[in-house]
This record gives sequence, C-alpha cells and structure tokens, in this order.
Amino acid sequence: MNDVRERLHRELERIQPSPDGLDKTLRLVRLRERNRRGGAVAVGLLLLPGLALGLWLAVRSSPQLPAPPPAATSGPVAGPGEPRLFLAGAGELWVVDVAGASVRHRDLPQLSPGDPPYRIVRRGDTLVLWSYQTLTLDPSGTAAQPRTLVRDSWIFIPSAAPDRIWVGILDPNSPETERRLKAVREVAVDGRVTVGDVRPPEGRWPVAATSSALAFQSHGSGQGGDQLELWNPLTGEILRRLPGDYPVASHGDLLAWCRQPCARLHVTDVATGKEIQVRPPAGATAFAPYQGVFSPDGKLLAVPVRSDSAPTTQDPKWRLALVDVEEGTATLVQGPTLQGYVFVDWSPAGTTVFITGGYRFKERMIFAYRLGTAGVRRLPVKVGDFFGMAAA
Amino acid sequence: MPAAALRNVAEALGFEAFFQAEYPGLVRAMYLLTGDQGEAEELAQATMARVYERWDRVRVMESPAGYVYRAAVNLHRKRLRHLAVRARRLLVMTVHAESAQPPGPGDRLELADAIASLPTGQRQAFMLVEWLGMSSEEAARILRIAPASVRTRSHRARAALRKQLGDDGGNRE
Repeated sequence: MNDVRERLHRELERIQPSPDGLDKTLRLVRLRERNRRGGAVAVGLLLLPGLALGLWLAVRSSPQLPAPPPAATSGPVAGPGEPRLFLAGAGELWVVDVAGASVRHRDLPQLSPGDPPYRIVRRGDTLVLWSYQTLTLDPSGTAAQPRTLVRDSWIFIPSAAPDRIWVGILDPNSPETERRLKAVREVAVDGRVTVGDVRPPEGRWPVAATSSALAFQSHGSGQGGDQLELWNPLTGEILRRLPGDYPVASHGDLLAWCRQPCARLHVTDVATGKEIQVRPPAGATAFAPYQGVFSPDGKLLAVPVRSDSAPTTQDPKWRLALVDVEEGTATLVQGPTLQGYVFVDWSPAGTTVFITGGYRFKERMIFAYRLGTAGVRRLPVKVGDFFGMAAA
Repeated sequence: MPAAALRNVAEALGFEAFFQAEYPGLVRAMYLLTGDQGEAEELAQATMARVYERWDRVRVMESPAGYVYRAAVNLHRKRLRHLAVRARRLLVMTVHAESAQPPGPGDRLELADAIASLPTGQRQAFMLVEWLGMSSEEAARILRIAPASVRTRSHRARAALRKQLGDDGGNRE
C-alpha cells in the first residue's frame, strides 16, 4: 500500500489550488456573516408585532413601566480624560464610552480581516492598529482616518518603550507556509525609527518585547524542548533561554511566561535572571498565555485564569485574576466566567481593568473592574464582532 | 508536519498562515472525495470559512489540522445528503469519467480518479486512513461508524483499487 500512497502523493502534488483561495474564503466568511445578520433582522421583524403587543399589554396592566435596561448603543463619546475602549473588528471599529455607557461605530475599511498577534494597542497617547500595514489613530477623535505608520510591515508587537512598537517585515522569498521575516524594526508612534532593520533569528516572528530583548518561540524536540529565546536585537546575541512555551505579558525587562498547561506563571527579569513563580488563585487551574497585561506601573498583572476543572477542555472558561508581581500572589476577581474572545486591557491611569468575552456572531460582553471594588461590572453596551481591544 | 508543530504554526502565525499551510493539502484530500478540483476547492473554502469563524477555539486545539479535516468530511457528508447536490455531483462524476478532464496535458490523475470513483463510504475511509494516516478509531469517530466498519471499507477500497489498476497494487508507471 505504500506504493499506492507514494503514487497518490505524486499525482495529487500536481493539483495546484487556485491562488485566490484565501480571498474567496474570506469573502465567503463575510457573505455568511451578512446572511446571518439578514436572518436576525428578519426574525426581529417577525417578532416585532408580538413585542409591540406585549408592550401594549404591559402598559395597560401597569401604570408604571419598569426601568428599561441600560442598553445604549449609540450616543456621544466620552469627554476628555474619561476612559474609552476601542474595539477593532474587520473593517469596523467601536468606541465605547465607559462612563456614559454609549457606543460609536465607525466603518474603517483599512482594518483587514486576519489574525495578527496584535490588532490594536495603546502606545503613549496613540492607538496602533494592524492592517498588514501598521496604522495609528488618534483616540481623541480629532483625526477621522488612521494614518499609515509603517507601510511595509506584516505584523507588530508592543515595544517595552511605551510609545513604540516593533514591526516585522516579511521576507518576500519566504514560502507562504513559513512567512519568515526579513527584518524587525522598532518604530516610535511619531514615525521615528528607533532601531533599524535587523534580521531576527531564522526569520522567526517575535512574540514579546522587553527592554533588552525580543522573545522568540523555539520549538525544540531535544533536551531543551520548547523554549522562549531572549534575543538582543542590537548585538544579535541570545541573552537567555526560558523553558516555556508561551509569553503572557511583558513590562520593561519583566517577562511573564508559562509552560503548557500554564499551571504556573513565571515572571522573569530578563536582564538579571531573577524570577518569581506564581500559582493560580484558589478556584483556578491555569493562566492564559498571550492574554496578560501589566498595569502601567508594572506592579500588577491582569490575566485571565481558567476556572474550569478539566484542563483539556477545548473551550475553556476564564475569569479575571490580578497578580501582585512583588508579592508573587494571584487573586481572583469576583465575576462571571467568560468564553470565546477574551481580551484584557488596563485604563491608562491603571485604575480599571477591562475584560471581554463572547463568541463571533454572538453577544459580546465587556466587563470593567475598578481596583478596590467588590468585583467586575458589566458595561451595558452592545457591540459587534471585534478581535482586539485597547483602552485609551 | 507533526500535530504539535501545526498547533504552533496556527498559534504563532494566525489563521492566514494556517490557511496557507493547510489549504493545498485540504484541497487534495477533498479531490479524493469529489474527483473534481472545482468542487474540492469549494469544499475546502467552505470548511476554512467555518474554521475562520471559530478560529479562537480551533487555534488552541491539540490538532487544528485534525479539526479541519473532520469539518471537511462532515461538510462533504452533509452536502451528499442534499439530493440536488448529489444529483449534480453524479452528473459531474459521469462527465468527469467520460471526458476525464486532467489538470494538464498528459497529467491524468489515474489513481486519484480511481479513488474518486469508489463508493462514498470507501472513499472517505480510504482518504482518512490511507491518505491522512488516521487510525481506524479516529476515522470511525469522524465518520460516526464502528472502527471495524472503517477497516472493512478501507480494505474494500484497496481491493477495488487493485482491481481497477491491476494486481500490482496500483504501482504501474
């Protein structure tokens, strides 16, 4: 049968799929989304007479209507100084005014569909957005359209410097199945190039940045196994190797990371090698890789933790936890479990953590936790499908 | 590529890179089921669209590629159940068998076409077990039949191929 298999391989290798397969697939996704929304509208129209009748009966039976739920979906955005959330979707952006519980929707066709490592982050007083190019947007709303920051970039990740990012420049000769990088470059949000192009090890994609190194995943099958390599882009040296699979968050020279199944969080100062280890809080089993965010002062780490007991579940349930980096302890924040698209970010002042949940095409939820309060509160807003969140 | 490496590719590079890595193989596997490149691509795109919609869950799975093939086979089964599609497919298969449109001059896919002409159950079992290298237990879970039935279908597919291509097991060149 091996002969058959080899011959079949040879034959099928001759079948070359059309090169526009990805475009056609993404068009299909959008078509399915439109159909779904159309269906929802149709169901809504069918239900409308029934709802109207129910409302009329309620008014008749009770002279006082109950207070309507605060489901504001439009209205003015926040004034200066109040936190706002920017939710980036494919071709659209929602701006949530946290204080006023209102939402403004913007069509931004520049925002491509796709799955980059970071889709939107706050850097200094600017938002950085992914669109195969790297864009910036003024969160105050004075600029209507995003500005192109780096035209030839493929991805970006936040730099350790608060007003900078690292971009990855694609190697055009790299096969589509590998997509290796020709260079990484550090750029300030005002357009200054702070570290010029340098080829990363083996053209790999950086997964996190600290002050003195970029982190790369290294999938080893030997004694070391999977590792995070800390590589100094200025000298080209590997500073350190950490026995972990995933970064969780970074701040300055601190890198939070974990090894599958992330039942323990490591926080390492990559410059000195000093490390603390943190266990999940009571009621949680593991930390979420990639999804942690340090507070602006670097003292706390907000990170989703798994609250289900079955570590192999493919659709985990998450809750928000806060890690005190100095104490090495994690505390669970009171609130519901979340599934689906879970994103976390801090308010610029470091007083509030935002966390999201919910699936694509379904209800998306946003919760806010103000430090020192009893637990999270749900923001009474309705938004569409977003794939990245930044508070600004 | 090992499942762990695929998982890492999917996680590190995101959906697009995952698509680029998996799409050609998926189209070829679907060709084995359909015998028609256009239909194979359409099935692969429909499958990938569903994967995109669930990417947050798929990307953290132990084997995202395994999920893709499961979804593709299920989608193929669902389509076959649809009478109109079945009729259209039979028509395509008939035209295909008669006109035998090869990918290029002199490039007739003799073996792949022979597989595509097998009964659906045998084709699915052959594709999962012989082409993708799944165990009969894994294939049985996808096809929702007993592992013994997978082995039987796979055996019958091999026997039919031997008969169609000659007793040398399809090793003619």
